[in-house]
Amino acid sequence: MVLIAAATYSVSYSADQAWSDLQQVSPIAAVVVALLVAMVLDLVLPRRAQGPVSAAITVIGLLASLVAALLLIDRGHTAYYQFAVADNFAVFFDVLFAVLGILAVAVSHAYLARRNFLQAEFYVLLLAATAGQMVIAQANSLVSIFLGLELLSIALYVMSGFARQDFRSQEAAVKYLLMGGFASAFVLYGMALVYGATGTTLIPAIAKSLGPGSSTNALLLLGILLMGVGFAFKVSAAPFQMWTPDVYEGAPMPVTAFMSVGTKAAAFAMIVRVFATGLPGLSGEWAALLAFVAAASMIVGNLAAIAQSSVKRLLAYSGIAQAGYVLVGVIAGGADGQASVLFYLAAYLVMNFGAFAIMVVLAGPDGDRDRIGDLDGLVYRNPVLGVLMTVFMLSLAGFPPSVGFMGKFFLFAAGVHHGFTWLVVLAVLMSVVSVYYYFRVVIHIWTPVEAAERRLRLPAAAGLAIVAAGVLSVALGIVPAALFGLAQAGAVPVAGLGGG
Amino acid sequence: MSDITIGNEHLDASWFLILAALLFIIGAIGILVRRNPLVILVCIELMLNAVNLTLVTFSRQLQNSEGQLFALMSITVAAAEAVVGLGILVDIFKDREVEDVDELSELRG
Amino acid sequence: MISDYVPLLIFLVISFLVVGALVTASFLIGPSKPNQRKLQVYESGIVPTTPARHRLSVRFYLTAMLFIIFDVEAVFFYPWAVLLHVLRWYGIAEMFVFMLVLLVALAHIWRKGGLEWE
Repeated sequence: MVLIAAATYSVSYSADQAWSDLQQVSPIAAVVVALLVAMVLDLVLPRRAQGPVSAAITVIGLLASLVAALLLIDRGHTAYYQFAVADNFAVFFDVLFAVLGILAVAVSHAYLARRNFLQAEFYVLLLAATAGQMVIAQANSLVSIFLGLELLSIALYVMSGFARQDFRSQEAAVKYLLMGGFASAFVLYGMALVYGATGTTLIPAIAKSLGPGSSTNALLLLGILLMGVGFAFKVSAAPFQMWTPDVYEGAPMPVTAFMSVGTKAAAFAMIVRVFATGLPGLSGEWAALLAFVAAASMIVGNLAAIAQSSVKRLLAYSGIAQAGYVLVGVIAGGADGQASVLFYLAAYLVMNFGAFAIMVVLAGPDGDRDRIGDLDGLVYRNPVLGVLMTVFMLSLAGFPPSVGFMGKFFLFAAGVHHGFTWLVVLAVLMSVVSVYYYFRVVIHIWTPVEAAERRLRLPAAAGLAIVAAGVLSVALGIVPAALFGLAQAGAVPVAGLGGG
Repeated sequence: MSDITIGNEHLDASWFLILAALLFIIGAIGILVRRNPLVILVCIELMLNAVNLTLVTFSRQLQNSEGQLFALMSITVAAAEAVVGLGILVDIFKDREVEDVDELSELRG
Repeated sequence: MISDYVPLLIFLVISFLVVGALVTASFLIGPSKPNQRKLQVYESGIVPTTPARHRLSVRFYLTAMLFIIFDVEAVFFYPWAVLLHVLRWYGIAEMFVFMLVLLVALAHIWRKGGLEWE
C-alpha cells in the first residue's frame, strides 16, 4: 500500500526510478514477500507440515531482509517521492527488527506446538508486524509512519488474542485494541494538525517550514501535543501506561516478548524521526513535554513494579521505567543523545527479549507460568537458564559489566551533557529503586527447591536464541565500542538534518 | 483563513475544522463514558473520520493533495482496524456476553 | 468534442452487454422452480414471516466486515486510474501486485471457511 500511495502521488515515473526505489525498501519487500509465500503455503500444505515450513519461510524472509538492510548501509537515500528513506538510522532499526523477528521465531516455535496454536497464522502475523515496524523505521513522511504504525498495531491486536481458549488473552486483545485505537486516533489528529500548520507531510519539508513564528503557532503546538500523547501510549510511557501490564499479562508469552521490544523500538524510531528530525526548531517545546513523560514513567514504572507478583507484570512496569530512561536520550538530542537511544534499544532487545524468552520456555501446555514463584530454584532445574536469567535481570537493573549498564551510562551522559541534570539524577535514583525488584527475581532463581522438582527441558532453537542474547548482554557490556559505533553511524543522518 | 467554495457558496475553512474538532471530542468523550466495547469501537471510528474531515479540509485549503492521500490511507486503515476489532469482539462474545468493558477485569495486579 | 465521449459510449455498451449476458445466462441455465410465494407481487420487500425485533446473528457482522474491507480497498483504484497515463506500465504492474495481495487474502478467507454461512 505504501508503494501504491507513493506511486499515485508521483508526477512522472520511469522504470529506472522504480527499480531504484524498490531497492531502497528491499528490507520491507523481503518481509512482505515472505508473508505472501507463507500465507499461500498455509493454504496448500497439509496441516502437519505447516508449522515447520512457515517457520522456515519466516526465518528465510527475515534473513533476506537483514542482508538487504546491511547492503543499504551508507548507500540509502529517499525513495518514492520522499515517502520512504533508507538512511543509516532506518537501516539500524531494520536490522534490529529483523533480528528480533528471527529470535521470536526461534523462541515461539516449540511454544506454539506445545500449546497447540495455529502456527502458520502466527508467523504470518509476526511478519506483518515486522513489516509494520520496518515501514516505521524507513518512513520519511507522516503518512508512511501512520501506515507502519497501524500495520504493526493491528497485527499485534490479533497476536495478543492468539490464545483463543484463554479468556485472559481475549481480554488483553480487546483492551489493546480499544486503547490502541484511541491512541492511533490521537496520533492521526496530531499529524493532521501538523500537516495543516506546515502544509506538508514530508518530514524534511516540515523541518524546513518551521520559522521564528512556529513556536506560537497554536495548530502546530496542539498537533505536537496530540502526537506526543499518542506516541506516549504506544511507547507505554506514563501517564498513558495503564494498558501495558494488562496486555502483557494476558497475551501469550512469545507475543509479550516480541511486542515488549518491538513496539518500544518502533515507537522510539517514530518519536526520534518526527520530533528530532521533523521538528528540530521546536525542540524546547517537545522536550518539555517528553521530560514530563519521562519523569512520570520512571517514577510510576519503578514504584509499581515493586508490588508485582507476576513476572510478566513486573517486566511490563520495568518496561515503562525503561521507556523513561530512553526518553532521556531523546530529550538530550544531538548526535550523542540519539546514538545512546539506538544503543539502548539494541541493548534492550537482547536483555529484555532474553528475559521473556526464558519465561516462554517455562510455559506449560495449559498456559503461561508467570508467577514469580514459578522461577523458584530455576538455577537448579536448568543451570544455563538460571544463570542467564540472572544476567538479564542484572543487565536490566544496570549492573556493570552488562550491556544495560553501558546503555544507561551513555543515555545519562548524553542527558548531563545537554543540561538535563535533574532528569538524570531522578533516573539514577529510580534505577536504584529498580534494583530491589530485579533482585527479588534473582533471589527466587537461586532459592533451593526440593530435589523432586523436574529438570527443565530446553528446546534447541529457543536455547540457541537465549544463549545468544545472554552472550551479547555480557559481551556488548564489556566491549560496547562495536555497537556504539553502529549506533553513532545510525544517528548521524538524523542529527545532520538538525536534531535537537 | 481562506474560503472554501462549494458551488456558489463561500464558506470559511475554519467551520469544517471546528466541526471536525467537535466530532473528535464527541468520539473521545464517548470512549471515556460508554462501556459497551462495540460502542467504543464506533467512537474510535468517529474520531478517525473526524480526522479525515480535517485532512481533506486542509488539503483543499492548502491546494495540496497530500491531505487527500492521507485521508484515503486512513480510511482503509480504519476499515482494517474495525474488521480486526469486530473479529476480536465476536470471538469474545462467543464465549461470554460482554456488555460492559468493566467486566473485562481478569487482568489485575 | 463529442468524440471525447466515445470511450464512455463503449463503456456503456460493454456494461449493457455484460449485464444482459449474465441475466440471460442465469435465465437459461439457472433452475426455475416457481412457487406461490415467489410469484407474489414484489412490493416494498417480501411479506415478513417473523417480527423484526430480534437480535441478529453475529455472523452478519463478519460477512459485512469482510465485504467492507474489500470494498474500501477499491478506493485506491481511483487515484491510480486518474494517474495511470503518467504511471504507464509501472502503474499497471503495481496494481497487479496490489490485486495479487488482495487475492491471496481472499483465498485465505475462502479456504479457512470465512465465507461459509454455517
